[in-house]
Amino acid sequence: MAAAAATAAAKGNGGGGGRAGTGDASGTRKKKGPGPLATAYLVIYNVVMTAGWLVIAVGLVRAYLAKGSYHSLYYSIEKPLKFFQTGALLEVLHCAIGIVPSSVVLTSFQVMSRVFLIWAVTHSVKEVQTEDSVLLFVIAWTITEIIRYSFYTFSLLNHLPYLIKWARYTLFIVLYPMGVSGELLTIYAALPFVRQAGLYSISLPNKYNFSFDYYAFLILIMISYIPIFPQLYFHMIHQRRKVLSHTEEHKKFE
Amino acid sequence: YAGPLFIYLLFYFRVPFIYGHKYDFTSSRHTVVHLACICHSFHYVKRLLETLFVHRFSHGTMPLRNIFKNCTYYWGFAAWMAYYINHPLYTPPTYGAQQVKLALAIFVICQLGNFSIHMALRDLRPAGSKTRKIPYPTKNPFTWLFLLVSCPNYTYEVGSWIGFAIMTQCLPVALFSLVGFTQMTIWAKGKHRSYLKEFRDYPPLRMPIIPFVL
Repeated sequence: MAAAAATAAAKGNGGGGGRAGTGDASGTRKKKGPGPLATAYLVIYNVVMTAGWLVIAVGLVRAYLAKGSYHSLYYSIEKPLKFFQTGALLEVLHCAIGIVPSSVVLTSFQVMSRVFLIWAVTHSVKEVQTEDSVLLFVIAWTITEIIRYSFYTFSLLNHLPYLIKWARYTLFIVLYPMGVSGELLTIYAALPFVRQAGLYSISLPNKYNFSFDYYAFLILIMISYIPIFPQLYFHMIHQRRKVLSHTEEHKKFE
Repeated sequence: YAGPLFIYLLFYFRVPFIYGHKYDFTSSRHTVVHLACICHSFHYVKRLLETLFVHRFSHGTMPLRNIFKNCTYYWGFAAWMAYYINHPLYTPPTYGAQQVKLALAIFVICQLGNFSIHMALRDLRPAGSKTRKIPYPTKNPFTWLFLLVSCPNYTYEVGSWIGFAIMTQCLPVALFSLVGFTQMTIWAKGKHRSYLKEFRDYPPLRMPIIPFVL
């Protein structure tokens, strides 16, 4: 869900790259983008993020070749994964100060769900770090993010190769369910350990008269995927039809 | 408002299925829990009566979607707070009777203040009309807050809930107060801005909701 949410809302709101009227989803968009300084910053940001996720991708491949198996590859990319995924919080700031035309709420939701999975689940429950489900969502996220950030970079520079646009609006069909499965399986795997350790939970009685059950909270999160996943998925399919057919028309007129 | 009133009482009387069966219909042995029930109920009864007899609305009705959102918010929070305050394992405030008395005083004063402001605002507008005037302090000392604040009704409301939070020493109540404060600040700022826009001679010392600060 975090995987697709990242692509979905950004696409839906016309991308996080301040595309100055490249006619992505509609031909009649006003030519309004960020100023030159903001554009330069955003290009740098998106290039750095693309590079970061490439590092993660390469790290995964190298670790796989070195170990000879795809188990427990998490440890080889743990640090860059945490760094670059957490760095995505900046994107919320970009929306807030207006240099990116996406909604702050939607972007926060996406980034927070990713950050939640990285820190509050995978990092916090050490026992799940060896699960294969972690690899599942890491791969999904890595491919998605490399494409997404390069998409923004090219959009900002007004030179968007069709291949990147196609990739962004097509690969999600597989990557999104893949990511969601990885995320759900990981949370599910974490449950018994959370229950056992009473992780992040507080029970009565206490002097603030408050209680929180992280186990129940995680289950609620898992349940929330049920309404949210289909909505985002079908939104993206709809976006795909719009974007890719529009490009076809453009090509006809050339 | 009848919702939160009713829901809280369900927890207060420990209706079955909320707490363990051995607690069904038992009563708390802490005075503060009974006080809290009285305060919470009083607050919502007051609100109900004010809606029926005091307020003069500029708009006719509230949109349906808002009602759904409002109810979820009020009912949800009422249940959440009531659950902890009326819980068999409830822990009374750290500083005991002193803390409860002080907090109760704050609550009562702010409720009186809030009511005074509602009455003052009502008297600004003749029955059946939609006129808008700058509110000013009256002989009632509670309305003197108008000197410093555009929306003292919100100020008193936040004060009431802070009092309630201190009295019950319950984190969910504090969170409810915080959320309410955030929403009321947004409303107060909006009201303040429209006052400034509409009236050239609007008193400059006034802040939207917190004197000198916000």
